[in-house]
Amino acid sequence: MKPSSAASLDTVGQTAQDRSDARDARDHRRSPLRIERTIKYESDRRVGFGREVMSVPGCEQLENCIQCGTCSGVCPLSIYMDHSPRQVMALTRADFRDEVLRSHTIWLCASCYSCTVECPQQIRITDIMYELKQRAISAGIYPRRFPIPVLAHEFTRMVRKHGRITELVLVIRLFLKTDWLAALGNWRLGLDLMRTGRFSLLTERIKHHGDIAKMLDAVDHPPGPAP
Amino acid sequence: MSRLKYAPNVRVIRLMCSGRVDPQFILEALRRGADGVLIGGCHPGDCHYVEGNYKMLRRYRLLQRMLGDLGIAAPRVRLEWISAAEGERVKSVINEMTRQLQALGPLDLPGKFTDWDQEVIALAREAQAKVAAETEAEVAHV
Amino acid sequence: MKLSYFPGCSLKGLGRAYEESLLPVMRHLGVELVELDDWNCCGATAYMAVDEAKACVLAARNLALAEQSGRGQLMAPCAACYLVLNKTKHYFHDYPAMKATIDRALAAVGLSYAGDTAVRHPLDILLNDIGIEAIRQKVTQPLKGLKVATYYGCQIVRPYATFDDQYNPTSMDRLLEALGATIVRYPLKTKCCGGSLTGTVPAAGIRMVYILHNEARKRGADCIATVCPLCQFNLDAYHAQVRSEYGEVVVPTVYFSQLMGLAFGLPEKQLGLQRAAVPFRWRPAPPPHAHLTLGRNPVPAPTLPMVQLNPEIRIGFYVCHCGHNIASMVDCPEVAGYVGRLPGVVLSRDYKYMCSDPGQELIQKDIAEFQLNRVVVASCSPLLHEHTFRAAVAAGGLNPYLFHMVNIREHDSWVHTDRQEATAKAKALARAAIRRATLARALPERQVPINPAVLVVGGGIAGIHAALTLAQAGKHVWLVEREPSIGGHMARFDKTFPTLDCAACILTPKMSAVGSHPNITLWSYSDVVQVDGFVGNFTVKVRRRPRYVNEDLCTGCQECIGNCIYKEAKFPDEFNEGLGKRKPIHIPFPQATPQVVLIDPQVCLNFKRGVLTDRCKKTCVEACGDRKAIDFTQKEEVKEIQVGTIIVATGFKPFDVRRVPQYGYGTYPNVYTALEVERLVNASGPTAGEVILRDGRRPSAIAIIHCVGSRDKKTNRWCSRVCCMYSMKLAHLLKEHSGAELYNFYIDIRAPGKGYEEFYDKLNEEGVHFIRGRVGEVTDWAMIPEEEGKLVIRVEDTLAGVVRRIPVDMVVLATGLEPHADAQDVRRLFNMSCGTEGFFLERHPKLAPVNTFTDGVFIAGCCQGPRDIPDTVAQAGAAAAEALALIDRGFIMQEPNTAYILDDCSGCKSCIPLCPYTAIAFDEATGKAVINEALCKGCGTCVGSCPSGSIGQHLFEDDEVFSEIAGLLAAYL
Repeated sequence: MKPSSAASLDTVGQTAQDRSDARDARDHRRSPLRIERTIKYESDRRVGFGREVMSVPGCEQLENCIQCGTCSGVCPLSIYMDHSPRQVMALTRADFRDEVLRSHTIWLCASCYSCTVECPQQIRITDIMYELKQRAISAGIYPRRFPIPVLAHEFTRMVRKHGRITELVLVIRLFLKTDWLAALGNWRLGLDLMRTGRFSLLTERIKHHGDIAKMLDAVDHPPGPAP
Repeated sequence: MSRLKYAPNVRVIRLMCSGRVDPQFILEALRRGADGVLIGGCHPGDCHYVEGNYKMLRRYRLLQRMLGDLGIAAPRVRLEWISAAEGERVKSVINEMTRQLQALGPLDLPGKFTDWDQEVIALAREAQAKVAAETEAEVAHV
Repeated sequence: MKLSYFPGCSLKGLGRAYEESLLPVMRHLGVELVELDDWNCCGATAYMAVDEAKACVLAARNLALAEQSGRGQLMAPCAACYLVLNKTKHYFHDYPAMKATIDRALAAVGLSYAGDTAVRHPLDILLNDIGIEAIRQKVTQPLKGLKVATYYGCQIVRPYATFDDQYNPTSMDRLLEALGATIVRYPLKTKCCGGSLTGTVPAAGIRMVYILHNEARKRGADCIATVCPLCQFNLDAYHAQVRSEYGEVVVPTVYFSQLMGLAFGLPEKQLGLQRAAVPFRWRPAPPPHAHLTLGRNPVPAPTLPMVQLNPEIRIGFYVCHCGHNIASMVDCPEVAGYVGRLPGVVLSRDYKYMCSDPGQELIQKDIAEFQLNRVVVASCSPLLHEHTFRAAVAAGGLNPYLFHMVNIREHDSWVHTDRQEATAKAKALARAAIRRATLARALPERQVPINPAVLVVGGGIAGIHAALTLAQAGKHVWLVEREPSIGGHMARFDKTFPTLDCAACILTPKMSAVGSHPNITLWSYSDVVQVDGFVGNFTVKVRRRPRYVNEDLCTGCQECIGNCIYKEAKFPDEFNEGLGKRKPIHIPFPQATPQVVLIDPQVCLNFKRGVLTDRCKKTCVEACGDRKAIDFTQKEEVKEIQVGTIIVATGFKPFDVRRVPQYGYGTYPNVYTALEVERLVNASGPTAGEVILRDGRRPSAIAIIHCVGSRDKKTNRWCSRVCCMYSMKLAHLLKEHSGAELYNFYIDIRAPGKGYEEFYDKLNEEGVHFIRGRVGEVTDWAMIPEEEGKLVIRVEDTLAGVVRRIPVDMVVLATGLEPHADAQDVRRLFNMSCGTEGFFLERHPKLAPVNTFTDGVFIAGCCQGPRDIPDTVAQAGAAAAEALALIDRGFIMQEPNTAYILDDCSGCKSCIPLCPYTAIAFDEATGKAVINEALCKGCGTCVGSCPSGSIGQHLFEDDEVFSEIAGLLAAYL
C-alpha cells in the first residue's frame, strides 16, 4: 500500500527510490499508462534501525513477530492506514526507517492497545508506535502544520510552563497553528461548549509550576559520577 | 538442553539423589574454600527414589541452624527444588546465588583457619615466654 | 473512607461534569475525596508521543505527592490518567533505568517515590470496597425502564486489566443494574472511540464515533454510559458533524456517575447534566420486557591427604571435542595437557568424537597397551553416553565401574560464554574426576529379571496398537482405559486426513481385535491408582469403577436402553460433545468395545446424586430378562497386577476454548469446536451428518479459524501440528455436506506428511478460500445490511494487503492439543517427568522419543506431544518394541550402587524407617542393621543419614565424594 499523497509530504532525507521516482516522473509525461517502479535496494535500509527500536525497554519482543496480522485485524484504524500495523512491524524490523517514519500509520494510532492485548507473541505494538512517533518528531519527519505533532508540541510546552493543561486553550492554539479555517468551521462546537459552560479560557496552573521544568531538565542531564 | 547461560563460577558434583547428600560434604566443601554450596533436588513428591529429598530437607534445616551458630551467613548454603525440565530455573538460581555471594564477599575458610592457626601459635609462644620469664625471676630470687 | 483524588486536567476542563457528578455521589456513599494538593498534568497520551521518560516523570510526581499525603490510595477517575499512572508504576517496578530516571527527577524537586501507592478507579472502589448492596440501598429513584449501553473504552481495560475482564468488562453493567437500569447487549463496549483523532484526523475519528452511536441506537439504548471524559467529549460534542455526515444516529452520552446521582435522587443541576451538548432527558417508561444480556464471565563431602603417586593406579583420561559443541568454548588440548600432569594419570588425550566407534576402540586399545586400570572421559552428559563408555571399557577387559564420566558440555561449554572461565572449570571438573577415579572399586553387575506381562495405560489408537503388537508377540497385556470404551479421540472423528478414510471403519477392526484377543485383558472404565516397584517388577493397583452392569453377562443387545423409564433421551451425550442426548443407561457409541452398556448414577432415577435409593421400577432389568446383567449393587473394585514394563499412552485434551472468549464460544450459539464439528458431520452423530446449527439454521458461509490455543504466548506457545490438516479436512467435509462458502483463516499452512500438500492442492481446487491472517475476534455487530444477523470476521488478508470483513453463519475453532489436566498427577504415578509444556518428557527428543527417564516405563502418542495418527501408531510400535527388547532379553542390568552396613554400626536404628523400599531390617542377633541388596535401589538416603557414618554405598562412597570435593576446590588451597 503506497501513501497516496507521498509527494505532498514535506520530508527530510531523499532515498534512492526518490531519485529514481524523479527520473520516472519525467518519462511518465510521455506515456498514457502511469506506472511507477518500486524496488528497495539495500541502501534504502538504515541498518540497525530495527535493533535500535527493539532495544527500547518493552520493545524486545518485536524479534518474535510471525507476521500473523492479528494486530491489523483488530486495529479499528487499520482501514485508514497506508501501511497496516503488521507491515510497519515488518518494515521496522527490516530497517526501512524512512518508509516507517513517513507512513501515516504512526499518526493514526489511537493507542487503544487492542493490538497489544491480542498479539500472540505479546509484542507491545502500541509502545513501538509511541517510539516511532517520538523518533519522527525528533527527526522532524512529518508534514508542516500536521496537527498531531503540533498538538504534542503545544501540549508539552503548556505542561512545562504551567503544570496543567487548559484544554480549550490547547485546542485553539492547535487550530491556529495548523488550520485556522477549520477552527472557524467548528463554530457550532464552540457555541455548544459555551452554552453548556465547558468553555473556559482560564489558564490552569499549579503552585509549584517551576518544579516541572526542574524535573524535566533532570531527565536530560544526568548527574556526574558520585563522589 | 536449553543451553541457557549462567555464571561460570559453579563446580558440579553428581549424585543420584539429594538424599545422598551428607552434611559433611557441605562442610568439607566450605572448609576447602567454597564460598557457597547449592544443593539441587527434585520437587517434593517427585523424588525418583520416593522420599530422599524430604530427608535432605530435614538435614538441611538442622545444618542451617548449625551454620548460623558458626557465623556462616544463611545464603551461602542453599537447597533448591529443580526438575529436569527447568533450565530457566537453574540459570536464575545460580545467577541469583552468585550475586548474593558476591555481595557477601568470599568466605575463605582455609584462609581463616590459617590465620587462626597463626594466632594460636603466637599466643602459645607468648604464654611460653611468660612462664619462662616467671621461672627466671623465681630462680634469681632464690 | 478517605481517599486521595486525582482529577486530571480534563475533569477541571471539558470533562467537569464527571467531577461534578462523582464527588456528591461518593460523598453520599460515605467516601471523602481529598483532591491531591498541587497535582500536575499526568501527560496523557500526548506526552508519551514526544518523550517516554519525561512523560513518566510527570506522572511520577503525582504518585510521589499521593504517597506523601499519607492517604494510601489514589483515585483517578479519568481513564487516560488512570492508565498513565498505572503504566508509570509498572515501568517504575519493571525497568531499573526508568526507576533511576524517575528517582533523579523527583529528587531534583525534593520528592521521592517508594512505589507503593495504589492507583484505583472509581468503579473498582464502588464495586469492591463499597459493594453493590450498599449502593442498592441508597437508590431512591430506580432507573426502571432506562436502557443503557455501557461503554468502557480502551484505557481502563487495555493493556492492564486489573479490576475487570479485558474482553468483556461488567463492572459498570453490574453497577447500573443495581440502580435498576436495563443493560443492552453492546458488543462495542471496549472499541476505541478514536481518541484525539476526532480533532486531528476527522475523516477517521468522526466515523469511529458514528460506529459507536449507530450500534447503540440499533440495540435500543436510551443512552451510552461512559467512564472516560475524552470518550464522552467525542461521543457528545461532535454530534453536529456526526449528524451531518451520517444522519440521525446520535444517542445521548452520560457519565455513569451522573446516572448514579439520578438514582440516588440528587438534584439534576448538581450532576452536570446540563453540560452535555446532546441533552439527556429521561422519564421512566413502561418496559415491554427487560431482558438482561450480561456478558458471560469466562471461566489459568575427614581431611584426606593429597593423593600420593600410587604406582598401582594407572588412569587414562580423554577429553572430547564433541565437534564444536565442547571445543568452541573449552580449550580441549589445554585441558588434556593439564590433566596429563596430575598424579596417577599415565595417559591424557583429546579427541574429536569419543562416542564414535574409533573413539571407543581407542579406549580399548589404550587399556591393553598402557595397562590402564582406570578410565575417565570428559564429554557430554552421562545420561547419554555413560553406558556407551562403560561398554567400551568392559570390552577392553576392565570392570566397567572403574570408569568415571565428567560432563563438560551441558554443565560447561553449553552454559558459559567466557572461554577462559569455561576451560578453567573443565580443568577443575577433570581434576575432581581423576581423584575420584583413583578410589573407584571394581563392582559386579546386577541382573534384575523382567516380568513378561505388560501394562498399557490408555486405549486410544496408540494404546490399541501397542497392545495388539505385544499380544501378537505372545505377551500378556493389561489394557487399562479410563473411558467406558476404548477408541480414544480417533473414534470420534468422522474421516481422517488426507485419504478421507472413515475413522471408525479403520479403527473398529483393531478395537474388536483387542476385545477378542486371548492375550489382552481389557479393563475399561478403570484407572491406575498406584504403581510400586521398578523395571521388570512393577506392582500396579487398578481401580475398576462400577458400571452397574456385569461385563461378562451383558451381550450388548441394548434392549435395556430402549426400555428405560425415560422415554426420550434427555442428558448431554459425552461422545457427541454434548450436541446429542442419551439416557441414564447408555452405550457410549454403537461400536463401543467392550460392547457393554453402563448406567450413569448421577441421573439414573434409581439413584439420588450417585447414591442407590432403589426407588425406580427398573424396566431395564425387565428387558434384560434371563441374562441378569444389570447389577445395582456393583461396587468399585481395586485389583492388583504384576507387570514388567508399562506403556503410557494417555493421549491429549483439546484446548478449552472458553479461555479465549473473544472468539465467541458460548456467547454466540453457532461457534463450534473442531471436535463438535466432527460429530456434526458424522453420519451417526446427533444430526445424522446434516450441517444443522444450534439455532436450527443451515449455514451458507462458514469460517474456520486456525491456531486457537496454539502458537500464542497467552495460551499455548507450541504449534499443535494437526490443526491445519484437520481444518482442511473439516473444510472439505462441511462443504460437501452443506454447500456453504468455506473460509480458512491461518497464519501458516503446515502440511508436512505424505499426501498432505496434495490435499491442500485439492482443497484449493474445491474453491475453499484460504486467507492468511490471524483472526483477533468474532463479533455480531454489523456495519452494512449484508452483515445483519451474521457473525463477522474482521481480519487483515496479509497476502492481498487489505483489511476485510467477512460475514459467516458458522465459526469453527481449530482447537490445539494440550496435555490432560491431570498430567502432573499421572506422571507422578509412573515416576516420569513432564516437559515445560506439560507433556510427558522423553529421554531424548531425537534418539529416545518413547523412553522416559524411568527404566521400564515408555510413552507413546499425543501424551508425549501433539502428533497425527501415522506418527502415533509409529510411536506405539516403537514403545512395544522397546518393551519387547526388555522382555525377550529376560533381564536388565542395574547399576550396582547398593548400600551396605559397615562393622562399626552401633545399632541405633535411625536408618530403618528411612528406606522407602523397606530394604533395611534390624538383626537382633548381631544388634546391627542389615540391608537386603535385592530390594535396595541405591538412593543413598540411609548413607547420608547415618550418624556414625557406618553405611557405605557402592559407586558413591563417602571417600569418593570427598575426594571429588577436594579436587574441585584444590585451586583455592
